Amino acid sequence: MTNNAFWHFLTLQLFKERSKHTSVILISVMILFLLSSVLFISSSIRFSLDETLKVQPDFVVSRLQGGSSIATPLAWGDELLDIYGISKVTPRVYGRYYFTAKEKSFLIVGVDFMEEQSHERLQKLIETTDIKTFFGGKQMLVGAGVKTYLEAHFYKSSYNFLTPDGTFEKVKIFNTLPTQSNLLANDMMVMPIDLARKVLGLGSEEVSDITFNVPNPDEWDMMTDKLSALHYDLHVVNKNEVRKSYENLYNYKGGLFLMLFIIVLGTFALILYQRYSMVYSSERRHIGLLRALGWSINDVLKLKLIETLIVVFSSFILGVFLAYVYVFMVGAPILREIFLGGQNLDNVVSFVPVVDFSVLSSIFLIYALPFIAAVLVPVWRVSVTDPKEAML
Amino acid sequence: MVFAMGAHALLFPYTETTQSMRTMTELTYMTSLSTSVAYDELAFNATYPEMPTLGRMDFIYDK
Repeated sequence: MTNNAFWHFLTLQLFKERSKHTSVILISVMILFLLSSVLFISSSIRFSLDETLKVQPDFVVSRLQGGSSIATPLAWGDELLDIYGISKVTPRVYGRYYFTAKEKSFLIVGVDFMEEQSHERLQKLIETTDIKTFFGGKQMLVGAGVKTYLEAHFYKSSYNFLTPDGTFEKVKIFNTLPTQSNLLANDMMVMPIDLARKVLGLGSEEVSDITFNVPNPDEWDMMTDKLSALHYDLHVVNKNEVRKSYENLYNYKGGLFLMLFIIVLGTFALILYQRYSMVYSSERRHIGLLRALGWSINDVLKLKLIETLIVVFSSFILGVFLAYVYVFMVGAPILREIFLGGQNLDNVVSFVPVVDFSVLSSIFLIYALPFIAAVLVPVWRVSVTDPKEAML
Repeated sequence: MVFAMGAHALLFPYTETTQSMRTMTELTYMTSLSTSVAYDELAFNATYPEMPTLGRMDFIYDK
């Protein structure tokens, strides 16, 4: 039956039942579109995080008091330098600054621009402007989200920070950070480290935490124990723990949608099964007619299998394509709120296109197998009965 | 459709985007996401109302 007549009949059959197939394709496309969009967003964010985590320092140490982080003494940095195997000890000064009137917050990050490397990186980040003017006064670089928010509140060229000692600190907005880094820098304000200390209320010998590298990964566990023994209130976090936290966060969100997808798909397959196994359906009479005309059970099953495969493939490709356009070309307008949140500043992120084929093939299998089974099992049950009975 | 997806993926400026984020991390030594979900970042701590609110990296650094 794999001749031209068979394919001609299949085409006619598909055309005749186009409204039925179109409705099935539409429902499938909706389900696949939603799930693929969520998985695309989650894999894209994970990819971006993995890329940035590669250049993040290996360890972070901070000081805890009563379970909360407090200012870390800068002198701890010198103690760390004395330990064999530790390199690139860098203090970090950062903290949140609340825009009290609207309960929004910005992340203030202090950078030591006296370091030559920081100079180079700043130049790399903001290529077009003259960096020297940046050091001419109290100035800062702000993320795109901060810039938009401040402009909407009439802070077009500068912002007056209220410091913890009750004085105002006027800081000029020098430039906006590149929008490609919005995933990290949307709510960021980058300023010289001493200015950040003043705005955040840290002393000259205090920092938020201290980062460092341990080039030999085999020493990481030993280093954690060694550091924990240095001070009773010292808290150590390594890069793997940060990576695991992010992975858990996004796996959880993606997993939640996968669970919902399986429930919806189960219901959909059940409806299809019931529809195809209806006793007096036209489908049943149709199969009986084909059997009476001399079609074997195999031929009937082959016809229905190919018909179903066409529906499955077209809905899968269409669903995935629409999800790709929605996430990577349009920027996932509503769905991105689930991952990025809308409580603080609006964030417009261009997601890096990452298509995880293992995830896509899993979706295809989870979707296609129950779908095909829901159609073929009732068809097989009808086709093994006597054609006379089936046509009743 | 497959061709359109492939063409978009090929033409996307991967290097510029990832390089920009990497430089940002190298400059600030931070990879904390600029998001406001999955952790308590409101003006009030919804889980423990009498306690101060949490920062965006506290769910990692304050374990």
